[in-house]
Amino acid sequence: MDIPRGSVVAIMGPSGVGKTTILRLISGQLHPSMGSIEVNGKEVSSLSHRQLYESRKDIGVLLQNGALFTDLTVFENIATPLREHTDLPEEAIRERVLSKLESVGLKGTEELMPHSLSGGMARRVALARAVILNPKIVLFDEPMTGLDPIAKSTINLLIRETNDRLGLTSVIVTHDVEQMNKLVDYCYILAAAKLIAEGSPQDLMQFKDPAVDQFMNGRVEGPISFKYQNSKSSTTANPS
Amino acid sequence: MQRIQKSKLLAPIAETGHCGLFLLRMLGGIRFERSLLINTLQQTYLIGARSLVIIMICGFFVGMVLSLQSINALQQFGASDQVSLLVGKSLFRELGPVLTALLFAGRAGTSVAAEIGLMKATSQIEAMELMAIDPVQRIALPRFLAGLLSLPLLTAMFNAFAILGAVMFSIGVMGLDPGIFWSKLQTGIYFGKDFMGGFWKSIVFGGLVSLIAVYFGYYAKPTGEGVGTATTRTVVMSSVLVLIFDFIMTSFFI
Repeated sequence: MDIPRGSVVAIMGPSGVGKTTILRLISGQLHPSMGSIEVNGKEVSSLSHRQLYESRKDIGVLLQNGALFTDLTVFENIATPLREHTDLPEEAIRERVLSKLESVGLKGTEELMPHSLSGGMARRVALARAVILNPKIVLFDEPMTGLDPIAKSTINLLIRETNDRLGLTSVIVTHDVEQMNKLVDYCYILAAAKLIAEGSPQDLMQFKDPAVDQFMNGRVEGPISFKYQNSKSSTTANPS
Repeated sequence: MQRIQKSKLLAPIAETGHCGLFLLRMLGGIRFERSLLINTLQQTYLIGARSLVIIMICGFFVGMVLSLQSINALQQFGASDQVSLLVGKSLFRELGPVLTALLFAGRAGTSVAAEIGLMKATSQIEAMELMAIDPVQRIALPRFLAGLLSLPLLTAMFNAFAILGAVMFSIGVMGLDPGIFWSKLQTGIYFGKDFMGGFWKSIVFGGLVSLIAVYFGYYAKPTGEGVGTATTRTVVMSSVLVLIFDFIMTSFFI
């Protein structure tokens, strides 16, 4: 699996297939038992604790529910990475935080506490926090889950805008086929802990493989079983 | 079967070791920066200053009941004017540090454990790690230091209000002579032995209670039940350990 610089790439697949695990491997929270992961040319699992923390400054992560710090205001939430990792004076921090907040369309919310934000707003604040240090890579774990259609499209638009404006590489884990078709450049589809297909969203819609077709079109019948299976899954589809 | 029993026996020892390693990790990575000072002071306010009222009220009533009981007992020997000595000694050496630590475990220890546990359950700890901020340094350490700092100060407040309670009861209600009360207190209580003896205890208790609270909070299971268990275990373990350590320290220092 290769994720080229500057692109928006989705990792899709049914729930429980190991999508979030891939993000955790990229961010170095988990170590691979086999194979290797390189980020910016460096093997992640070989990094020391300090090097890993250093490399994470180049990676922004948006977790599933946003994971805002509930005891801090919106402003302080976004300012936290700046305060920890830079020596900027207070005015510069203020300027940067407010401009990021404006770019996600939430100017004027800086003094609110996270619990008074709606789901979509919280997700946008988390996005602003994830990109405040101008990272090279941003990882999104289910950025659309639990949002209304308008908020979904807003997040969608913001991800694309931020990616192109800041020259990021975005990796999105999701199972929202419809939104992804509008957003991403390239898609990887996982099923039963295997990569079953890759390509642009348009290509994948035409894909002949039954498992891919089942997932992309949301069919109940198909090789991907919805029953819980204890041992190896019955899915045998393999694109390569 | 034997292996299960053995592992059950060894579990507390393993956990003690784990907790000790956590303490080393906290203190080993310490960096004296302005943010640590600010965070520690903020936590001292939240867990220390916010515990003041309960400490003062309890101290006041402990002082009153202590002098009531002492006067009752001493009257039998016609020695009720010794009450300030008895109250002072037992307060400064034992009751002040121990009762404050127990109250502190219930008031502040639980809130710290629940707060950290909930931060974990809502992935805030994970988010922090992903921002390359060490949560042990950012979350656990300031709370630990704040506990270490707060408990001696709270103990001093507890003692002061207990003496106040004793004064109000003995002099105000029982009509003892204030001159005798104060002079007995002044000549009979030694700064080094009585006051400092209690002071060292309260520092150890402060470290103990706040270490247990941050440790159980940090390793709580990220569920509602896990947070509840962490809170309960914090109170139970810190209460038991405070009393055990109290005996050990008293037998060494007396």
